[in-house]
Amino acid sequence: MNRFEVLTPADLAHAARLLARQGHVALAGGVDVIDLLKLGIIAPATLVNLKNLPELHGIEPGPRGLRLGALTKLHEVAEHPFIREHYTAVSDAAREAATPQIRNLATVGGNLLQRPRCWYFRHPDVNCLKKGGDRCYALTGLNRYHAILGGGPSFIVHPSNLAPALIALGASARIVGPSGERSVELEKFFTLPSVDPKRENDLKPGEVLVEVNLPPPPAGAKSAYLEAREKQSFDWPLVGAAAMVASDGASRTVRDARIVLCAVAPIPWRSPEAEKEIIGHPLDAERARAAGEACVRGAHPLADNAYKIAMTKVLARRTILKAAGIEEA
Amino acid sequence: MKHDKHGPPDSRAISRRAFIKGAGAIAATTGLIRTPPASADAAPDAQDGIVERIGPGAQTIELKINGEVKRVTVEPRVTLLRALRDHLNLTGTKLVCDRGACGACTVHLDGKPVTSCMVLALDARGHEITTIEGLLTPDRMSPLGAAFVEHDAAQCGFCTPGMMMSMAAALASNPKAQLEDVKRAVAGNICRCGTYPHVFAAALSVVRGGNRGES
Amino acid sequence: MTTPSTTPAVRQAAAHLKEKLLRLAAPALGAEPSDIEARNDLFQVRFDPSRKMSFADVCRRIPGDSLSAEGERVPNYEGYRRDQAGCQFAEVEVDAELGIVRVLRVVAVHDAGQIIDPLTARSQVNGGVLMGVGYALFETRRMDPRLGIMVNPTMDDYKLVGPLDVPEIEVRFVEVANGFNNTGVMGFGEPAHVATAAAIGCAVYDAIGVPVRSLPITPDRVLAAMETRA
Repeated sequence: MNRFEVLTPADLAHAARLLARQGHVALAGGVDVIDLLKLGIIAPATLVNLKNLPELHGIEPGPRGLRLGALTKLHEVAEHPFIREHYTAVSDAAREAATPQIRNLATVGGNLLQRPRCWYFRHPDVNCLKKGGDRCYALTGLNRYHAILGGGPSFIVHPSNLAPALIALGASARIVGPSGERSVELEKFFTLPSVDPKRENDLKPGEVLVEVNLPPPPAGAKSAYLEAREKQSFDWPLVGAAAMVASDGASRTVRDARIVLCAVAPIPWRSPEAEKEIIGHPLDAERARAAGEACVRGAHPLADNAYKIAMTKVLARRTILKAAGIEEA
Repeated sequence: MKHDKHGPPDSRAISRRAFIKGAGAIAATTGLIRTPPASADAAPDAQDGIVERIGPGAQTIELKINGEVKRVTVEPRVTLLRALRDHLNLTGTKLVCDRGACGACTVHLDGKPVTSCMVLALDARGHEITTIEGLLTPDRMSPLGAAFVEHDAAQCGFCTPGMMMSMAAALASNPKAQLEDVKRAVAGNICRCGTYPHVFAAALSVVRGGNRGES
Repeated sequence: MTTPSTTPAVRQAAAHLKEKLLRLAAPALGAEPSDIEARNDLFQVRFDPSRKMSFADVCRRIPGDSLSAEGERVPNYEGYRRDQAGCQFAEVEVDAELGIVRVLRVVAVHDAGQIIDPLTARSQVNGGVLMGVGYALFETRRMDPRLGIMVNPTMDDYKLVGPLDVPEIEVRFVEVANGFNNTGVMGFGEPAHVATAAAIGCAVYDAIGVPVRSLPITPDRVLAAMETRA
């Protein structure tokens, strides 16, 4: 790890001004930043400590939805009764993430902004496309955990399991930068490698992800998040799926739905194709199955990861049915 | 004061007046939330809106460990784990993966288990840090520690301090933990010897005995 | 293997020490050392039990502070079978759509020779079983064939069995007198390990109807195997 200084800005505006400078990196929960420092993937001269900024703290439920400060810890998200009741997918995703010890450190902002877990990207001896090299080694190398959708020229999968759940519930991110603030739908916040393989999101130099805002769920909406892992203990998901399904009670006719996949693409992957299969129809296992099939219609597997296609179909179906409260036969 | 093992202190950094003011102020605010001290405007870096500037050289910080305030001189890049082991001689906390994946370095920060390898020492200022030495000693065994011994819940023993820290926190917050709960409690701790079944048995025996894991 | 390696030497040293004590007791009891037997804290003459001394009294005759003796781990005795028998049973649950295998229960029955400490012996078998679960389901060193690097050298990526992957484990010991060393202790860490992976492989075969012939039995392999069945 290189030597660095740590600056604590007096307020958000000064934090943004500092972060706009070359060689300045934000320090919040620290989990991914410390990992990247140890790996030598980043070597900033200065870390800008964001922990003292009040705007980044707090879980605030209210009639207009839910505000999650970017520094909210994952364990707080997982345990919060209001989130559990109204934003179940978010709560479930937070509880599935990492380990108890990491959930006590890691923040919502860090989870959304963490760099990919790709074993080439994280390998100190490999200079891959994302690190300024000339190729994505996963394309022709070992790619069992890589992208089946949206890949190219980099084939990482986005590591956040919170992001799909938040997107399924219509979250937006409030971002403050040196020249003011903006709000962006979380769905549009992430960046495909075809746009820029060196980053995974739209956060610009000097910008701070301050909070995530969730609107009240649509009437009759329920949500769920499920993921498949090789290990039941700490492991990264092979595939995950978040679903929000709003339906009319008796007829089960779906009025609104969002299906967002985890660990299948370089960004959290929303599937309008899957949503189309269920919106306007009474939901049953067959409909959910069709939605699962639709999720992967455009998938392009690499040499080792075709199994993720089968897995995605199943998880999407199960998550939709779980959200809707329908037991499979 | 402990000698810094990472090289001589950076005198240029040390001389910054902001350090003296800032370090004290931040340590007093529990490291979290709340606005910076009112005196920040008077700080030399006020024009930059900086209330504390620390490093890159070693500087003395205060950490509250096992109920005692300790002074330690470390560079900002030194993790809490390294500060405990290399600077404060609290070697019960173990270094294994150094990436938060194995749990061997688990300590409590304000009562909650965290991997100390993923926390900068300076970020632990203002928090109550508890290490395995604060949980029990051979002369002052906790019920959980005694149960670990009784159930042979350590083989090589390297994961044991972290395992015990995770379990103690879980039993303190859920004294009626069942098998699934104790498994989840240590889900972030890896044991290569495969001693988990006896760890579960030890924890469940404490639950049945009505003890809370921490003496 | 620590216990079978060390206990024969310890036992031999103890035997040598006992001989020294018998030699200390002999003059006081007016008998040859070979005529004295030691039991229940007493040294007594075999053919005249009225001539006896307590263990403490014999120890008082030790010149200096202590008595010491050495023992040696001699090669195993010839003419005894060194085979080791054991059975490993595994019960698994396979998510037939996702290909994810969970081990629910392992029963480990082992001929372990003489058990010195049942508790630590069970720890040993638990460890073997759990490494076997890792061997069967998770662990492998993944090498990039062109870069020549291991891509999963971290504890994130090299998958070790964690607490939530632990099945219910039942350990049964069948103590068999084997005669090939002076304690009859044998090692059984590895038998519990290797056999567990095989048992899990067989259980997966039983569950899905087709064998998965490579380890680890990861979801991709389970799904591929099930495809051949269809």
